[in-house]
Amino acid sequence: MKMRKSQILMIIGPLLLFALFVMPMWQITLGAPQYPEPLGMNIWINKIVDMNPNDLKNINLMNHYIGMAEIPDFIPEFKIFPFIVGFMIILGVLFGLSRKRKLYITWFFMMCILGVLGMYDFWLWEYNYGHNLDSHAAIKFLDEFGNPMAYQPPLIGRKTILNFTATSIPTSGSYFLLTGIFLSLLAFVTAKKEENYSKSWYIFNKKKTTRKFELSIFFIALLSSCSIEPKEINYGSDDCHYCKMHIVDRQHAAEIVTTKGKVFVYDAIECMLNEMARTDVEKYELYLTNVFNTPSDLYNAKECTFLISKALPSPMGRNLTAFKTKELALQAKIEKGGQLYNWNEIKTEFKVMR
Amino acid sequence: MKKNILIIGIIGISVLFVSWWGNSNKGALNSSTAEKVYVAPGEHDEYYAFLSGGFSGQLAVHGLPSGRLFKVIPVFSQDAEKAYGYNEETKPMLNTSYGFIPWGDAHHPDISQTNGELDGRWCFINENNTPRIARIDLTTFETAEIIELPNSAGNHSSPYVTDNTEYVVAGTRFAVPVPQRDMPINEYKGNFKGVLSFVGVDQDSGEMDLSFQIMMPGFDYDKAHPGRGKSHGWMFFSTYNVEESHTLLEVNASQRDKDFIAAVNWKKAEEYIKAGKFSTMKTKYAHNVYDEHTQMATTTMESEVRILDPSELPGLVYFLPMPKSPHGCDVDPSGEYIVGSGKLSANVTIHSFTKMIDAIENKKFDGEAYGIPIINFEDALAGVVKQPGLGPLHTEFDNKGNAYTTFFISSEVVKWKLGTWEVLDKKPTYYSPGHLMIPGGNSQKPFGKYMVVLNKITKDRYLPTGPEVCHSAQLYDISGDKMELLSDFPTIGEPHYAAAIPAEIIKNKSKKIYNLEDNHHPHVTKSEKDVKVVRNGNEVHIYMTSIRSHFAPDNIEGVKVGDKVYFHVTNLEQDYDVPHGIAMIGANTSELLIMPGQTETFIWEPKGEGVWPFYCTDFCSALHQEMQGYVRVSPRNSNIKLSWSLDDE
Repeated sequence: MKMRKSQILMIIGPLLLFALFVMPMWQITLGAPQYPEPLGMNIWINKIVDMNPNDLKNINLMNHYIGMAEIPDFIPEFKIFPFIVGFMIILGVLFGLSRKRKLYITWFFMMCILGVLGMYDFWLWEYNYGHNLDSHAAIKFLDEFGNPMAYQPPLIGRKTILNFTATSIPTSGSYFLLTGIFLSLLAFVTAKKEENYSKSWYIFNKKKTTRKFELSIFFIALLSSCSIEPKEINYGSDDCHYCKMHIVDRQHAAEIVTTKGKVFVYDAIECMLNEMARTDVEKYELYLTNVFNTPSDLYNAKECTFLISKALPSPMGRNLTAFKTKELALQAKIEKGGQLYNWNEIKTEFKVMR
Repeated sequence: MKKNILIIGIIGISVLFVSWWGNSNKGALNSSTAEKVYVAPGEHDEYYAFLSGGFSGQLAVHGLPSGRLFKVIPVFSQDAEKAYGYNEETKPMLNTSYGFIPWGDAHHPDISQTNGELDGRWCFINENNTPRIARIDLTTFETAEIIELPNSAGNHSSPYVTDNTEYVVAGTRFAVPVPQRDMPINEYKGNFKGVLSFVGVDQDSGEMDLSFQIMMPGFDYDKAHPGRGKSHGWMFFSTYNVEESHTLLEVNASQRDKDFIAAVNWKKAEEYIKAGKFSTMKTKYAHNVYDEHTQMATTTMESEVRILDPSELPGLVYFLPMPKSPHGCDVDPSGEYIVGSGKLSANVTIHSFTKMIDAIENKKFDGEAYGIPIINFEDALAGVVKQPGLGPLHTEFDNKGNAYTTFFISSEVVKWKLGTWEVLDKKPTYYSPGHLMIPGGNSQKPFGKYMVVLNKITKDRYLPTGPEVCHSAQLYDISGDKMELLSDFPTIGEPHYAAAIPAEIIKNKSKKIYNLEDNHHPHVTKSEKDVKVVRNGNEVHIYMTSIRSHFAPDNIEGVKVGDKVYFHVTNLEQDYDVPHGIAMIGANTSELLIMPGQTETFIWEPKGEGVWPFYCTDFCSALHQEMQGYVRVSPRNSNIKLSWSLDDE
């Protein structure tokens, strides 16, 4: 089968993303009167490195005066990003081979969404970096409203922060990325002019319908499972994220996994619910809990049934226990007394905002 | 109407254009002298110039054409500013066979060469009083090595690098008994010797090695110049006092009409060494090397030297007669002409290398001195520059076939043409020049744009500063037919000679910091976690770090009166131009000035009980003034244990 122009574009586009593995995608530089040759950091998909030797060390040294945290060697994103990029390359090439222009535009939009998410994540990191200041810093500046000054670098562009001019710009890796995304759009447009384009969503021809588009969904699921997954609780050594006590009870512990894959553990279900009540639940992805009948194991809290019964004390005094099924919970209620709740009801009980 | 506007417009534009054209032309033609030496703030000079500090013992680094002083590199004298010769790391640099000597008389800087062109790897400089040669590393601009020269006295004709930096040399200025012994001074004649030393240079490390010495008659050896190109393999030394008088030399050493230039065939010398035609003499000399790896200097006392005797080794040395106590003996970039400046003469005499070789081959000799053939004057003579001035001293060359000679007595510099020997231009100097220097002017490839003349006397040239006034350097533009005086600027000590190199060749190799990872100092502390204080009898070793803006530790207790306290301080910075200093009240030594990634050590012997502060002496940061600490000193019999802390932790 002869390759079409659109197919070639659609295959080259994703392949350009390989550049992200060999060159940085972003650069932040800090120039000042004393730094005619600016200090700087190059941000890759999997690391932050010096622009010139010792730059990170010297930026940290400068920043300690105003109480900024050190630039981290590692953030969880560095583990995830290479997989996302690798996955998108494979997916893009498969889409290109499929000769389905709907898939071309799908890839384009997926990349756009991932790009926006990536930038948002970058902004969040910058925000924390610029606002999370040590209260013992030697130098404390206030802004014009009398609030502690923030030192957040710009997302893109140039900004004066005290004596430094911070410049944040995309570098070669990003240009390859943008070109790659653009090529997929071009492939879509080109494909429109070419004949005999299937309107099917499937990657492969209908003869092979077994390998459906779900294949790609499967990849996405696989990817997300790499990042957002429950973690086993180390009973006896882990501390409750809410009340800071050791987690010992294997029938009442609970766990939250955030949208970024971060894991918080709790010694009691009530601690988890209290935490949910005082924080923004938007950033939580998974809720897990121990159940009464099979200690140590974690189950999806949304599918569990909860019993508050004085005959079943729980670690933090709310007498709250989870059961894997409604039947088991009902049986316990009959034996011990108390009241049953489903996930939404127990959230209401603990005043968790939706 | 429209047409008129168009015409007016055209006229207007033409006027603008003509006025711009006129202006730019005018600017180029009338560019003032001041503009030629003006280097705008933030701009860099075109050349690095290394000016000898003379009796200061140091080497000054200036920029040309601005004349701005960048750094004084301590070489042969202690420098309290940089702790050179004061801290434990660099004290050994000033060791000699006579023990530690805090001062030296620096004379002639010379930059290393490859194929007869400046390569900017190292700068060598000789010391006259206690004969030594130093090597300065041009990536760190620090003294890397000093080698002492035994059997020599007054190391003046030195160092003068050969075409590929095979050797630097050292001819003795004072003939002395070799080996030294107790004997009547008036038995000088025939008994004193003049030794010429050849010091080999390792091409990778730059490390020097006293390869051999030539035992010459007891004349005074004044200057030297290696052969270039066709004369590569020869070294020419000027001599005075061939009369061999031992007193009132100003009269007695000026009686003969001609002294000599000793032409040494060092390739021949290498053959003789290889053939084993040398004797080995017991002697003693110091070899001091600063190891950048350990950041420590060490002294090795050497005990032997190989001696070649020219009276027994034919073809090794010839004498070229040269009128009237020659000072300079300078070889032009082609290697053909050997210019002798008889300092009591009114003429400049030039010998031809080709003719010299011909005379040697055809044995056109005029007798011999101590077994060394004297070449017939007329048979080697290339020409004479007649009556250019009084008291010629030193000659350098441009890249257009011209030579420039300083005249001490008539206080001027004269430009003349090689080959025709005609005088092209004369310009006064202020006053009494010794050497002059053209960047690359003693190599095969001179950069004939600037000339620096180094004056011995300034009198009224600057604001007076009491009886002692500065010496000076004068900068001339030599790019045109006539020399043009651009500026004069004061120098440190006495600028005997200088060497300059286009900045482009070395500026990008200049080190910015010392890599902390590569610091293998025996007392380094690479992180604040590792700081400690250790007692060893009455010695206390403090392993301290400095980083903006604190020392760690900054509170130390448990030191006692009578202790010998070593401060081993590591500057943990890895940023350009962030040195930290440290000074301790009552310490009988200099401060330390520690570059990023470096470790240095000073000793403090507290004499009284109390709590004594120390502080950072280099304004390192906004909180520099807070960079300080205390040491508590208790009575000798106190039981207070050693302890140290930073932020009470």
